[in-house]
Amino acid sequence: MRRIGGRVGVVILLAAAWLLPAPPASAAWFGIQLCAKAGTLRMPDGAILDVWGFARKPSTLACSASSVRPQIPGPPIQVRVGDTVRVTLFNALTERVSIVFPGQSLPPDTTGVAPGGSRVYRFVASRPGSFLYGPGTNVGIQTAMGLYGGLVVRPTSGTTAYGTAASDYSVESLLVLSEMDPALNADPTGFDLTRYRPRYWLINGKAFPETQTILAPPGRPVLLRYLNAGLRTHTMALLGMHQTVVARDGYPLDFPVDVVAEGVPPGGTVDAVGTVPDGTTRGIAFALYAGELELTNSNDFPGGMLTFVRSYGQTFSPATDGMILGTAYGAEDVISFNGSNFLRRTTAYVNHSLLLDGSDLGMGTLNVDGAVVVDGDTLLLSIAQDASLPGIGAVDDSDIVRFDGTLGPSTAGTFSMYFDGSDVGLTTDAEDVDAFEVLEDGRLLVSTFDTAYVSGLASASDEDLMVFTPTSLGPTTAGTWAMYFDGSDVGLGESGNEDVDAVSVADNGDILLSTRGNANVPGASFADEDVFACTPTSAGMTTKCFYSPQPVHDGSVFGIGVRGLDALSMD
Amino acid sequence: MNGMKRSERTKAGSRGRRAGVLLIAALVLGPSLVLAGSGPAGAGPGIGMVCTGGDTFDLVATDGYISTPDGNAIYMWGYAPAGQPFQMPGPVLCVEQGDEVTVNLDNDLTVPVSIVFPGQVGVTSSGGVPGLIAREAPPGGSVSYSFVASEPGTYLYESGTEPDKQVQMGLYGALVVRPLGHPNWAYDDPSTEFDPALEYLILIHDIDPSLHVAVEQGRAYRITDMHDRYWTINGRSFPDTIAGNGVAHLPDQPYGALVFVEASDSAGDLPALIRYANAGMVSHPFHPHGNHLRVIARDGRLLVGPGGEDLSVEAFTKTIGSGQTYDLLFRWIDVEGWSSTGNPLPVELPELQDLVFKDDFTFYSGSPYLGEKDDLPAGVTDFNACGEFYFPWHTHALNEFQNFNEGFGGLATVVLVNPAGGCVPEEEG
Repeated sequence: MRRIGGRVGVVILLAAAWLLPAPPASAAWFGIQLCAKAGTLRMPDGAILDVWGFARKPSTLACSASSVRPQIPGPPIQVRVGDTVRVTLFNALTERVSIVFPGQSLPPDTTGVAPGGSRVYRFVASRPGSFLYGPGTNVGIQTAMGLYGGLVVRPTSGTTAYGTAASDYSVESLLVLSEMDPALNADPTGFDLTRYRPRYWLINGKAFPETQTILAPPGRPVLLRYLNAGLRTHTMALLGMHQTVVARDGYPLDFPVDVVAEGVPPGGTVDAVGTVPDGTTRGIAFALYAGELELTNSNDFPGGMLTFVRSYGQTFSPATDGMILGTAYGAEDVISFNGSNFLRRTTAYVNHSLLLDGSDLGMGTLNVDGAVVVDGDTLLLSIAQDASLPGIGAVDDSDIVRFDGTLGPSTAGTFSMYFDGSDVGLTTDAEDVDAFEVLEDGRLLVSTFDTAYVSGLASASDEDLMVFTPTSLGPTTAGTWAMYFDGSDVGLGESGNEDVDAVSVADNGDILLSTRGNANVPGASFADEDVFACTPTSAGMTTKCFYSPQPVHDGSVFGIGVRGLDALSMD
Repeated sequence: MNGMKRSERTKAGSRGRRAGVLLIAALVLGPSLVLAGSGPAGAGPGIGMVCTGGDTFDLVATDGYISTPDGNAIYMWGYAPAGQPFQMPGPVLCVEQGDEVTVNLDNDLTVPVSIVFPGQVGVTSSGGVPGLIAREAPPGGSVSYSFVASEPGTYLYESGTEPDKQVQMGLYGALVVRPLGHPNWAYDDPSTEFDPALEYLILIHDIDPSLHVAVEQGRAYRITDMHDRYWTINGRSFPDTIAGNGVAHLPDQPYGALVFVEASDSAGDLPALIRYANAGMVSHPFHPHGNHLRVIARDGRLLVGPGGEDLSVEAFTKTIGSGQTYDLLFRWIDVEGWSSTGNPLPVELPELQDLVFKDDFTFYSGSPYLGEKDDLPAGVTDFNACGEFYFPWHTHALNEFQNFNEGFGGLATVVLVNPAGGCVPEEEG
């Protein structure tokens, strides 16, 4: 599938995780076909570089197929100790190419195959660790052009990187570091490598602001697998938290060492574990960057080798009353979850607690069907029914109310009107607000239970998201409507099941969605308790986006399962 | 140095003259230092790390110039203590473990600035405006930062605004956190006790003067064309590094980097503490000639295992990565006890007529024995007081051991080893 901006790492890793044998694993096979192929890479400043990269090749297609696109870095290979890895290389370049696997028991291939040829590499991944794969031919130029990728070998069982307590983790991030010198990319066959002078610095093939934020719940260990595929040392530093170096080049240290910054030499790998301090407010971001201050795109700041570890929580409301992970929750509750691992579908680290206990506020018979966490003591909520709330009185299902007070298992506070739907055309039961989000610029995204008719739009279906630009909010609401996300443009809406009933917008612009029932979209299908992402390339009346092939949050991992999920706030 | 073209220097200056003047100036100080036995840390002129103490610091981001030994003047931005003139680098902030530290920053520059504190946890900020990495003081404005210095150690502080420019320009300094109740320990461990008169900071930075000219003249800042020509320790290039603190000819570069120890007869004497920190944009392999140092900590964390295992290492060359700090203990123990009387070197010493001294001056005492002096060839000026030893401590990336291609310069200092018991200059002996 096509690369998605900023989310390559997560998307592709999720797909590869899906290919893993179910744990506990006896030794298995992992096979992948890679084309070494020319392509382009766009930098945030608009520069387009010619690159050579590894493309995942389906067995049904030739390297020349336009959908076989090289990626920088190449597809990550993820296996377990004892697995046999079989990589078939196809050469779609115009010079010889090979792949070497440093750290693996395989004689390095420094002769490679001729253009048009192919070769199979087979080895047993005998020890856990973080490794690079890259070219064994014309190494300097081919590496600088982008021919590299990561190989992650996990222990056969458990939740650690090396079977050691120090390498235990809840969240995992692969950080393939590299550089680009446009003068080299423009002339790989004639370039004098002694004149190498990078102008771009990349994490997983992206430069800030397109680098991926690492979302981490407070108090849980985050594994940072640094793989330096570049030609320069990068001394990776974290602000606001130390990181513990637990391994170098796939060898666990007998004595892990706490550092601010650790040098990762070219060709080297470093595994470090960082922990967002307990109690850190959601949304606080910790800069992770190259100590060499390679923080520009060409000469423009900000850019380069910079990303953030972001304190993070997920907030859901279930669609129905019932048990979640052994605790009874109601549809009127808003639940805070910590801990999720995009790469392993395990409940091992899911902690959950009440953020808003609806029955404390007399909402026991109601269903919260939309939620946004504003800060530590403020929530915005929409309710599926007409109701009477303390402090406001009558509210209907098209309203959004604001709760201020003490959040947590003993919830107490007051309500006020935030968005009065009937002031702006949401008057019928069909126009029940069943999903909403507040954008950074203050506009509201709203989705309704069924078709909505508001001024400025012919209509909006239950799978759409309207955007409301307020001129006033509160008991007197006024503003204008437009279309933000037309679900039917992107495969949603063929059935009532695909009613969008929960939405949140991530930092990088991804639209995170959940639907009333199961959803089938191009390339993926999701259950009603899942949260999936659509990365937009255009919005509004003509919506285009690419779906995550796997759920961003698998509701069954969170125990939501049959409960369903009808409100979502990711922050 | 021979054959260097005048056009290769950004400012004309008589080659060698500045170096000679500085060496003489340094050595005028030298004998007085060795007479004193040790330099008082914290007072200037003198040697050793200069602390600015307290728990609330008022700093101003301002601009000025630094001098280089080859006669250049480089435009810099730096943190100055409020009410005091521009200085490079910023003051060494010395606090005690557990202190709630507040740093107030005023901005005299025409661009926003900020401070980040790598290695500190829970830094909060107020005032100013939001920035990408840290809250910033707008031009003419201010911002405040606050944190609890919970872990002893050596740390950097530097700009979090456009760091590729602002840290290059000089917005950096060191932060020292002393363990609670033990100001003479480096960490909360008695094995890290050091002689408080022998505390030294080696704070490294690298400079591409053409980038500084670009900022000075408002021209495009092409960081990807960075080509360093100067390297500094505590804001000075060798041989200015071996002049004392507060010397008159370097008014804006108040901190020297000369290291002084007295030879120990036993391991019982307290060691010197050397704090390495790299505020530069490249790694630097730094080493002391003729000596190992014991690396006891990294980035403000003592090298000790979970069961109390001693993970310190003796090291010669230590590569200090960008943004890293190390703490090292140093003793000069006279293990061999060579002396001309009881224990002579088992080699033939060269004849006087076979010795050549560049430019006819030297630090050498004429005798290879610590504490002894001997004859030197006629016409050679000897700056050695009492047979003390001098070792260069420098980057082994030798391109950095230069001032704009003129060696020796750049990232280097000297350690002066006094004979055990102190220096008794021969003239008075």
